[in-house]
Amino acid sequence: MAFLDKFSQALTSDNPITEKSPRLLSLEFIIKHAAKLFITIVVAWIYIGLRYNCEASLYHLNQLKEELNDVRYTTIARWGELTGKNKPDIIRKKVLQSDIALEATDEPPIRVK
Amino acid sequence: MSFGKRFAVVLGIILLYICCIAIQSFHTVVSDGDKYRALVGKLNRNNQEIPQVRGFIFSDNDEMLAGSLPEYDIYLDFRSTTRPNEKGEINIPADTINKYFSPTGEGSQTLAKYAPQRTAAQWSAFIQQGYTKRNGHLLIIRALGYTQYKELREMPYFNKQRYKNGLTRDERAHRYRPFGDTRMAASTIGSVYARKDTAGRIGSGRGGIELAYDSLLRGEPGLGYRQRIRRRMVDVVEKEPVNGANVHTTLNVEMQDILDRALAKRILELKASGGWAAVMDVKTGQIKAISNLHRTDSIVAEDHNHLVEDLYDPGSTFKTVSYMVLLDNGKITPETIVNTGNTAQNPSDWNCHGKHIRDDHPVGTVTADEAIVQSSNIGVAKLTCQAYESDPDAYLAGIEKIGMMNDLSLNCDFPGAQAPRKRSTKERTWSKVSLGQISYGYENRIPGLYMLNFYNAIANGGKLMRPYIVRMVEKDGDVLYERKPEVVNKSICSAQTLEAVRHALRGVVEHGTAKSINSKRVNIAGKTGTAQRYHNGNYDYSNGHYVSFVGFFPFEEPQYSMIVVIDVRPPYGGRPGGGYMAGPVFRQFAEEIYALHCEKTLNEISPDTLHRRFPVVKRGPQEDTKYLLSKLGLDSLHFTPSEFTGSESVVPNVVGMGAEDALYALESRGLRVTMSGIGQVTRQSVPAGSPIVKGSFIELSLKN
Repeated sequence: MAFLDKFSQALTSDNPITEKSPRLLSLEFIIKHAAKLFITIVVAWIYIGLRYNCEASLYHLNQLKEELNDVRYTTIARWGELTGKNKPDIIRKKVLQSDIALEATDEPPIRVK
Repeated sequence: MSFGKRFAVVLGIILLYICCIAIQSFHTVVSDGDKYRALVGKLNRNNQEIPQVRGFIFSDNDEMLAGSLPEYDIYLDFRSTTRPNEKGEINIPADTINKYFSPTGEGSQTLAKYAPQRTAAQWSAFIQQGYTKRNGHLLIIRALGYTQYKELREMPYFNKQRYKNGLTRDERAHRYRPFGDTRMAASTIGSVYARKDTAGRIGSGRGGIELAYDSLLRGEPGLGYRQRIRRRMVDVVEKEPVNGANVHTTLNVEMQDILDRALAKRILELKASGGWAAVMDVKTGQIKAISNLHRTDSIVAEDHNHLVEDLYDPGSTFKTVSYMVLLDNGKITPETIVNTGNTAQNPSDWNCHGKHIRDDHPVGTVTADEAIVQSSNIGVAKLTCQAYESDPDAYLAGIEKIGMMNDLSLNCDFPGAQAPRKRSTKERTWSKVSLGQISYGYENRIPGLYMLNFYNAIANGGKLMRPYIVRMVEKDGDVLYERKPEVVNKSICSAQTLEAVRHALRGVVEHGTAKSINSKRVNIAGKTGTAQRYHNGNYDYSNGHYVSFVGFFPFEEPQYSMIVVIDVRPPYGGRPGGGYMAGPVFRQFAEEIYALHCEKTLNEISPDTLHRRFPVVKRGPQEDTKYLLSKLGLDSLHFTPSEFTGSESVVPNVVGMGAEDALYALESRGLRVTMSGIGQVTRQSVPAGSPIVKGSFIELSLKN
């Protein structure tokens, strides 16, 4: 307890620092540093907002990339299937197997104009 | 207690709290540091490679020949759930497995559909067994395509989240070829490594164009890391991947298909070991189609690129070279007589310095032109030896002047391409019989593509072109590299010599060794070849033969040149011959392509003076009909405009029109048309002149 008494006296005595420095969270302290506190809060708010937006954008960007990849691969797959099914030999066999009365031409076309 | 004391107490408590935090932090870093670093490593993986997309390979009209798609191996992890369920279990519940993977369960049915090597009942037993063993990495589907994977993820059980169904996948890039891996110039296009190559790269070119242009097709991977953002793992890109460039080839899909079909059919008919063929555009040297097929039982599939990688004796197709050298140096004329000494009454061979040269059939005494037409080994060898025996270097210089034996550095498009082996009199293997042997196609080892190139030059007015198969490399529309036709030798011989050679080649097909393939539809010129196969250090009939036909069509104005080589083995069922064995492939291709890719003009149609029949004119546009008939010399006609054709509000009279014209006339007025039969329209269900009701049906009957 003697130690505590000495410690508290040191804190509250005529100490240039303690007399001139207002206590933390006191009204005086807040008023004195109002502008700094306000700027700090605003900067923190902006930072948190921007970070949140960045993360949201990253997330959205990632989703868009996944969608783009999906569209790309689906397009390639469909394009490849269509190309393969349009192989002339496959079409020729289908025509032969069907009732369509088509024959391959023997003569080349004649250019009129 | 005074304020100071209270303040001191509070301060002390705060300092104590800070000390506890510091001690705990120290403890965490020192004792549990590795555990948490590993956890951070899982959450934030730095420097993860982002795969690039390999470039496409296209045909001459931009049809896809090769492209990249992801491919998946699908696994089930029965221990996979990372979140405990309501009961605190972390394995997939047994009743879930029983529900979906009973023999009639939806999961078993789905697996049977996408992996048909097992039935649904077999899949049920397989999955149950894996579940019983708590298998953590059970492979269920291998090499599942992208669209199939998407469909699978929509199916019952497989549409659940990962921690509920235990589904995991291994993804890899798969080189997708729409026309399959066994035909359509597969060996020329090439393939990619599924696993790492010697340099540790996955998906690099393994042969063909994929290898030759790998540095352009491959692109560069990017760099990034995965980060947990809003409870999801997100890829954060630090360096964007660079996708590969696209390669545009000169291959034509239609021609390639016809060539594959014709060659495969002939290989199966002859029960040959294999065959290879290529088609070149005469004017440009572009390779329009190339096939290298190998037969195993009744399966014919692409093999390595024989036409550019193999050296073989060209056989009688080389006689044309000798003939050209002899003519161009004034040693002979086409009418020069040569006595082969081999007649039907007195068959014999010719002893050339101890080598007995034989003809397949007796020709007797013939002109030089006829010696080529009938492919007489004795005739060509005698002419060559008589002219150049005292100076064989002059003969070899004549071949050199043509330029066909020069290395064209084709390995920029064809990895592994060989250059012809030039002979020299200074070689240790040169002997007195070499001159005769070379003249009719032995002792010279040439890749098939070089022989084709020589005949292409004959078709091209004497201009020797550089063959090529890649015409352009582009990326996102920007052309990185473009190849134009390149003339290697402006004139392989004089115009007179060229004309004589062309005449002989036409004679080969008209009445020579290839008369069996003389076509009524398109005029073909070329040369047959039958060379014994060199095997185990010698030529022998039992080793087999390379039978070939190389030439061009149409003869009057050549558009395409082509070579067909077939590797036949005994028993043959007759003497092997290029004309009747390889020639049919050439004719089938020439006839089909002539009808599809060539065109005639009105001037080329010969008027039939014996029969003055008027052409059938269908009802149609008057101006076009007048123009056509005037060109045919039939313009003194009276045209009656048809009523009900011009008005847009009534049904036109389409009787007498062809199907296409009738369809256009009716659909342009808003009618819906159904047709039956073929030929001209003989009946229309709605009479001409009736008011049009848009969207109504009209039926047409067609008859020839």
